[in-house]
Amino acid sequence: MINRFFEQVGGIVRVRLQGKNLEKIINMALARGIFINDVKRKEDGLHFKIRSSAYQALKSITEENGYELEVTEKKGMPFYQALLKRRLGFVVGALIFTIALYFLSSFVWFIEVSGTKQVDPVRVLVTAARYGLYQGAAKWDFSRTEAEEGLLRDINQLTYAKIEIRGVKARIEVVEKVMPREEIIGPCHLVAARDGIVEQVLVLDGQANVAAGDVVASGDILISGVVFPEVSPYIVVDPEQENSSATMPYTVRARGQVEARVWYEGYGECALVEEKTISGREATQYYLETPWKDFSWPRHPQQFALAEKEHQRKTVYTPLGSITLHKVKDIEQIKKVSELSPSEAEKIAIQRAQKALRNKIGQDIDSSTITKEVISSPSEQIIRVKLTAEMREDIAVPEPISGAQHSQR
Amino acid sequence: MDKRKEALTKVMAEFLEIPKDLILDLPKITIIGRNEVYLENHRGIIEYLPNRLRINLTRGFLEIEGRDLEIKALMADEISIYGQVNSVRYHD
Repeated sequence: MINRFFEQVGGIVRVRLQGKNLEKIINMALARGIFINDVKRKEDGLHFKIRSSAYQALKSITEENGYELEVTEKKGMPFYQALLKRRLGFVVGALIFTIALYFLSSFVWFIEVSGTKQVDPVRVLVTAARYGLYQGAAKWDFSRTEAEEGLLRDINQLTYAKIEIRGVKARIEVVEKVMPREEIIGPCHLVAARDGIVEQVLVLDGQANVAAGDVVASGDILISGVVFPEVSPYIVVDPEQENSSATMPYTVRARGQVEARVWYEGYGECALVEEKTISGREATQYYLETPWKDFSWPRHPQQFALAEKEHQRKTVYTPLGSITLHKVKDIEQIKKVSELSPSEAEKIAIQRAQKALRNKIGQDIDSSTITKEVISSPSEQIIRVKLTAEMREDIAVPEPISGAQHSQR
Repeated sequence: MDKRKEALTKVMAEFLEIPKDLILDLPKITIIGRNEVYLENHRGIIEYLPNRLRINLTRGFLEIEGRDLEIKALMADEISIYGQVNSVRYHD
């Protein structure tokens, strides 16, 4: 195999030697250091292979001794030179193509960000660009480790960043930190998250401010974090010790549960005469913007009387300028007027109100607790429905005591 | 004189335990199966025919008889022969 390779590189000549006592020429060639391969005796003489560089030496030996030497085959790179010279354009083209391919593949053309949840991917891209990794950046212009370290340093929420470059595509993989939930450690009250009627109060720590049956508004203190020690009526307090620590109020982190009846409202409406637009035919047109010329295809797109446009674009930044491909999709809009009976409209309005209610509560509700109310007047061309759901839930949320001037126990 | 020198070289080679083909220019033949003969330390080709090959040695010559003999590679002191070999014989 390796011999064949050298034969191809150096070039090999197959020759035919004719005359009497051919062994003499072979021995003379050997003495001059010419290597001979594949010697075969045939009727028309001796056939063998020599390196193309040894051909002149062998020819002079045969001429001096009156033998006839004829080349029967030429193989290897040196013999392709003439061919390549004739097809210079092809060779130059291939060379330019290879160089262009190598040159263009040494840039980053695409960047992909993965692993982001809270952090905006654009922020990751902008930070990476600050460290040299942007669309159209040369691969030798930035350091991967430097950019990774920069990402971690500049975006606090990240715990891990990896930049992987595959061909012309860079993939930024990040993992975000999972932060522990912030919990109030200091003294606090439990306040009402929303309006309601208190049903049940369970105090674990602190002092209850409300009792079952009380009406509370959002923000009212339900369980106070400021505790006033109860003074037993059976113990006579010494007036001198009245301000001692045993009788002074102190603060705690209030804990407990306050269950209350609360109401959620959902609103929905439906017009009796509804005008709807539905999508019809589609026509797509492409525009290619280059620094030199703009192209569009097809040249005469279909036109609609009423249409909605969807525009998508993809830009590739090259050292020669940006190339943008626009895709504009025209979707035909057809108007349709539909008339509904009051009962049908009410049905639709109720469905919409239920959906709004579900979105507020975040879970399915028992329909028996829902009360319906039509709030539109009969003269209106619209049916409005309000749904009210009654629920029982814990409305207590902690709130730090502002300006706590009491001592804490 | 030459014979005396050769005898002395032989004794020295034996005494120093050096391979004789290196010191005395003796031919070294490797035959692989019936189809391949490899010869080192030759002194040129005397005759080459498809059924007979005579190779010159330091002393005498080697005659290889067979069928479709072909010299695969030929270098200054090495030769590699392919073909069906029937006999390998030394001649003085």
